[in-house]
Amino acid sequence: MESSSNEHIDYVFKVVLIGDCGVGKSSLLLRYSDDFFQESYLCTIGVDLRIRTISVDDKRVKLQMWDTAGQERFKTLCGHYYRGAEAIIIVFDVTSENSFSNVLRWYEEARQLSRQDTVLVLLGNKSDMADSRAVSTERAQSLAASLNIAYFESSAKLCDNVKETFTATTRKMMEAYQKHHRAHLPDDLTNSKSLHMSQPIKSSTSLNCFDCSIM
Amino acid sequence: MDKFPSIPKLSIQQPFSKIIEKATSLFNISTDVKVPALDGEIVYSKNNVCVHQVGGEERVPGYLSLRCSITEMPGKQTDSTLILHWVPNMTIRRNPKSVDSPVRTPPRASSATNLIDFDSDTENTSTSQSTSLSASLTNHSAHSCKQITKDETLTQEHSDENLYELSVKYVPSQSSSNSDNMEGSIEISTEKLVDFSSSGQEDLSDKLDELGIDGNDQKVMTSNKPLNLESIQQSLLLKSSTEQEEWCGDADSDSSLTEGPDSERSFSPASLSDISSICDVLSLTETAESIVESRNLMFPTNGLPLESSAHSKNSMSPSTSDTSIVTSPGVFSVNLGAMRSLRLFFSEDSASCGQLVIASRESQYKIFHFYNGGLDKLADILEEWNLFHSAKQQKWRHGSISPFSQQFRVVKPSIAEDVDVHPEEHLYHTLNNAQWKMFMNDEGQILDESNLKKTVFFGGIEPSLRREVWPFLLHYYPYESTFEQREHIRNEKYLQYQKIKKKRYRLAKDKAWELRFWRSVQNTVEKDVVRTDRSHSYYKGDNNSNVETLKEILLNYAVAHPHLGYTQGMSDLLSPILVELKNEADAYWCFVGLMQRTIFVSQPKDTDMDQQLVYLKELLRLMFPKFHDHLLKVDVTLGLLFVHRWILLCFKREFNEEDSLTIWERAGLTYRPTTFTFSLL
Repeated sequence: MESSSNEHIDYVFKVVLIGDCGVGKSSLLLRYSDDFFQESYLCTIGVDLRIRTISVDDKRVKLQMWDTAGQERFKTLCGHYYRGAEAIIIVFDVTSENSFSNVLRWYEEARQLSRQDTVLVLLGNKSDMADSRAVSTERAQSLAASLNIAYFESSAKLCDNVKETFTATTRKMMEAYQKHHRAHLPDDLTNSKSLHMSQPIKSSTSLNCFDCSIM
Repeated sequence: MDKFPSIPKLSIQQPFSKIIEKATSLFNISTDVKVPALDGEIVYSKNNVCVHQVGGEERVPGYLSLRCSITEMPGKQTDSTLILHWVPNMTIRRNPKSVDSPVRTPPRASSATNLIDFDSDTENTSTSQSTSLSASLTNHSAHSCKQITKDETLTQEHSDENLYELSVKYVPSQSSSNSDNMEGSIEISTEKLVDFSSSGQEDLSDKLDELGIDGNDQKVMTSNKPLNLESIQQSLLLKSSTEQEEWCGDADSDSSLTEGPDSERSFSPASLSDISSICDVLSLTETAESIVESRNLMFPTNGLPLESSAHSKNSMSPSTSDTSIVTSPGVFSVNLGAMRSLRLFFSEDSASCGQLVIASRESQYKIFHFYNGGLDKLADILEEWNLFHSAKQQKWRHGSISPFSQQFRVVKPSIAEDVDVHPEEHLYHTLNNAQWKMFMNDEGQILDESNLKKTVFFGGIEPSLRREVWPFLLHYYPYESTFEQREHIRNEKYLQYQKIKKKRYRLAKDKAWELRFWRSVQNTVEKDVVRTDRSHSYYKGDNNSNVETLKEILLNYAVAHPHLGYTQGMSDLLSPILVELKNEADAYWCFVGLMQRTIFVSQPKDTDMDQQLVYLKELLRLMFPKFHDHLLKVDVTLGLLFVHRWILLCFKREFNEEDSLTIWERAGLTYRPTTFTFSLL
């Protein structure tokens, strides 16, 4: 955790990771927030939260990262996943054709349940497993292009392109926020956790609750 | 707001001289502790005290009062007690006089004058405080509540204490509209209060401090042991007397009223906010009930009929003959001095709201819900009376007559103190092999199933015994089965399991089915088993065959239960079972038994999980209001979504293996005396 409780934060963004079971959502977040990797990590039940505060273009951004269960049968959770999310990262496993073919399903669900200005990103994980690769970069890129979203490839295991993906996503969220902010009055953002830098976050706010993962 | 709430209001509406009078009497009672409550005087009252249906559905607001009852016996000391009287608002609305009938009935000349005030106020609807009270009561009952006062269930546990008279009565509301019947319903008691000298040490200022939080905290804290009589419990002499008949007498006989100390009267002024907050609060009562129930204070409704209804005391009044258990809305009147215990449960820091739980000698429980404060003042009153009785008890000890001990127990919920544990806690030891063998007869039948469950619930199981005990807990073997029958069952179940397996293989020949099954179930199962408890020695290492067994069981379960299939989390639940039983078929059937009690089976409606979260939120609100407020404030509680996993896996991932299995055994798998549990029931 990079943040200290009194630190000035310019933005707080909620990022949700979705995708099939076992594509590596938890591993990506574990790598990104704790720089740690473990084969056969526990499957996520319900939802996990991870926090990381980063600097992007001289702005301090607190990322509230939601790790969801790939197989979600409890509707109680689903509504909360997408609500107020600034970005949704759809993760698939480049060695699993099945997880790639489910990307469309995930995309549609995310589009339906999220805000219009939510940034969607496609992320192919396990890029280190070249031998068993089932989905080529080109196919994934063309799918992303057809959906008009960005595509990244990463390896949580090798810590390859993980940080870059999150940084790029953060930049997109900041752009979307500013665009949205110009287009609407701040009052329209009541559902958003984004805070403009003119609204410094007090140390006693809720944000500190995320200094550690609550799950 | 209960003891002295009326002063500011009265000061507006009453002559100045009366204010002085009141202030003076206030002062008197506070400083001169020798002035006791007078016979018939109402020492406490509170409107909109709710009684719930046992199921928590129906909430009936009513007017609760405590009346001092003093019986002087020639040549003897005085007996005194408190009579609790509760009248549903519905009754008051129909018959405004019903509130005061309990006060009017005492034959003594010392009945409280505020009663008269109240009467006239309600009748001429002048703008006095009492009017507003009665109006609010009416309003409220119109608002909300169905009529049923619930109640009174009992157990036999304490039936050996029958020497005490229980004076609980119920009067159907139909009859309560008739003032004569009302009087018939009033409970009679003949306690005498001997000595007031050591009581009432509070300063006047303290008394006037309506919040009195600090003071309350002290007063309210009490015994660490539920039945510890010495320190906190005070004794109260209970003597039978012939004077009850007078109490049952005609209301008109109570004609001479003298001024009692006003300070001890309390009419809590009703306000609009009171009413609205009650209505608000009414929706939450189920949680309050569940709290009480979770403390095992609520006894099953199918208890025995009230024995004491036949007692001589009750039979004095005409309406007592049909007192057994009346569930229709009605007046509740009871002699607190004859009760086994009184407990107060506070729902917030200021200790003004919560529940009053009255336990009779027969372990009948009556629960009054104070949603709009007033409980703190009640605690004060009970505290005062404790002091009285304490002093008296000492006298009696020196005397030759042994008094019947009575308890006033005032308990503040606290985990640190040992007061809230189940009475049977610590009575059971961890189930060991010798005990386990004792539970079985020569043929291997377990005859005392409930005792076994209790032992497991309160004492746990020695880990080495799990393999033997779990199949019973998980309904694999019936408790009454013999060794021979169990062998038979085991063989049968083994064959049955093989059939399921064969079915799966047969179905898998259909490629379309196989693909569908792989997509919906197998794919996820395969991903999950390789990451389920892999650090456990039983599943450690590459190519561990136990991981394969785990997978087989889950796949077969999904085939045998196509409507459930596989849900993530199941592998976590199965894993410990397989570890303990170390046999595929046995583990499968035990897993089937476990799944019947989990929240998984609520699929696909999810309402159970939602309901669990709602319960938990209400519990938090009630038990940890500050934490609850914090969660509300920070908006990141995700609707308590982080609890989801706790419930789904029954805390398996939240504690180490041994602890979590103990929780499984004790909280989920077996005996559970109360209603709210997490997942496994």
